[in-house]
Amino acid sequence: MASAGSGDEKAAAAAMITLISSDNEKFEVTEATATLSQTIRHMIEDGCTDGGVPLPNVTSKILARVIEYCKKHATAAAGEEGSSSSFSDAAFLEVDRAFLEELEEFDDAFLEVDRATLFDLILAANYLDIKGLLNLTCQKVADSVKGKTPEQIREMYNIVNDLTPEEEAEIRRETQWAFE
Amino acid sequence: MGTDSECGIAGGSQGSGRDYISGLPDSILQSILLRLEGTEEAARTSVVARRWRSVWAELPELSLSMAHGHSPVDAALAAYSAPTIRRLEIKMPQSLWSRRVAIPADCVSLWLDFALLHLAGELRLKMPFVNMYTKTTREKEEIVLPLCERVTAIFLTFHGETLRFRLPPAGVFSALATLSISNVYVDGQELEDILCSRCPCLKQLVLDAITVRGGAHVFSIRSDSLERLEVTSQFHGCLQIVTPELQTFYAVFVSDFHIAAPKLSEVDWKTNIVYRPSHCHFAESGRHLQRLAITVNYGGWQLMQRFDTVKELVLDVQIAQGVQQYNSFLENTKKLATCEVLVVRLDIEHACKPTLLHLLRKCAGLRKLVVQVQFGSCMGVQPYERFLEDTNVLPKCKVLKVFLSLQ
Repeated sequence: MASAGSGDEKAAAAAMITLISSDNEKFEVTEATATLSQTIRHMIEDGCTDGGVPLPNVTSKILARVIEYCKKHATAAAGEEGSSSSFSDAAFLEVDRAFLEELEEFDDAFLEVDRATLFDLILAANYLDIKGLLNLTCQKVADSVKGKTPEQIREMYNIVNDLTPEEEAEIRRETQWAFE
Repeated sequence: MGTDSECGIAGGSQGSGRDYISGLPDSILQSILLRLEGTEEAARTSVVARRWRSVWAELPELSLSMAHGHSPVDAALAAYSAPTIRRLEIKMPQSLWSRRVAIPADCVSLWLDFALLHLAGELRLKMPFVNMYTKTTREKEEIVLPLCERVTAIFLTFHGETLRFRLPPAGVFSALATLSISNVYVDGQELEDILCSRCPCLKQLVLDAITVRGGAHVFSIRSDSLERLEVTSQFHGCLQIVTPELQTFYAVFVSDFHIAAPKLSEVDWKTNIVYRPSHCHFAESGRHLQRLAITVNYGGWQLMQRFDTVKELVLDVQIAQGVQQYNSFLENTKKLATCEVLVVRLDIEHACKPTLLHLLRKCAGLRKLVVQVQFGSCMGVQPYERFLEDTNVLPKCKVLKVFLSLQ
């Protein structure tokens, strides 16, 4: 029976994945954490993760943040599977509320970053195909744009208006319906 | 950098002055625009800069408002340039629900033609509230739904208009899994035909406040694929349901039906109409259900005679004040279906504890109990919790949760 024990350990060890950032830093994460990324999930399925997964588009600074997000949400996903939500009544969903609130707090705190980091996170989430993180970060940008005029959006995001006044007038005419 | 994080990303120009956003790939920019207040706001970004000009016009989802009549919607659909769209929503914004806007049915039919050509996914159309007194005149407004072969879900909420279907001799709604229609007039024969032979993979059907015109006295729903049926409409005659795969039947206001559903596992019967066993036939269903939800003060309790073993029993308890009312409650609940899980929703101001105690004594094999107390109830939550601990009626039962409900 001792062999069964070591087998388990082996399985646990095999479930670790090494991620390598663009600046060559190595991060050891569990498979559960790594597979929040669909990109990495596919690599694992194809068996191309031996010797680590190089991520040439993600710096160590950003990768560390992404892993922080994935760790938290991987635990959340595991918790969801374990909970007894086989009953349809709303009463049973009540139980998980505290947990979801904690997750929301984590997400809010996670988004307290400077603009360069936020956009790097968006690109990393897109490249790694981490749906939750992409939604979260895009929502943050959308919230900042909501209710703003085109002029305010330009100013807020340092966007150079490269339209001629005539072009701008023409676009405004075309999209008059949206300005009503 | 510290100040940057304090100000969040809306902190103005004190960053490095770089434009991070315009360099994003189209798909991400679209994903940001989809999170704005509808397609109108997304389209307004087209004047930000050249990069932004046509991003909105290829959004994979459109959400348009009828707040300013039909022409903005017409213009948006005309300017849209992607070949396929995965979600089309046209509605009255929640905040403006009371605004009176008359949308001609012809225009709506043209929008549905747009769906026919471009939509591979979900269609949601919610007509504005016109005026309840003009409801009879809206009936003459016919909105025509063509055969959208790639549409997977249709949600139509009208205000008393008539829904017609324009069907070629052959062809089916081959992707349609969910159909929900609300507050419409329909031609009985036509809808029967659609459900019976034009929706081969329909899984969920919601008929809410529909009025069936013309046709037979009996309205039939025949489907080999249907798994969930919600009917909250009154029918003049009998509702006949033949659905070999049906699992869930949710009914309000349905007093006369014949349902043949051998796989039925969940029945939700919330009604203020008296249940008459002679008019309610569950053919081919067993006596066991996974879930049965009923309102005990009306005829619903009689369903426990038809289905006498239930995994989860949900009882809505509303008892008007008075000895007679209470006695009839005791009489109606003399024998409960055998259940493992009991959910009691108490909406009473008096005799709360005896009521609960009475129900619990009827549930010998109970494993889990959920008590949901209506918000504003006399006692609040703690007395129930203490009471359930003290009474010890069900030593083996786990009291999962007692909580206030805001419903």
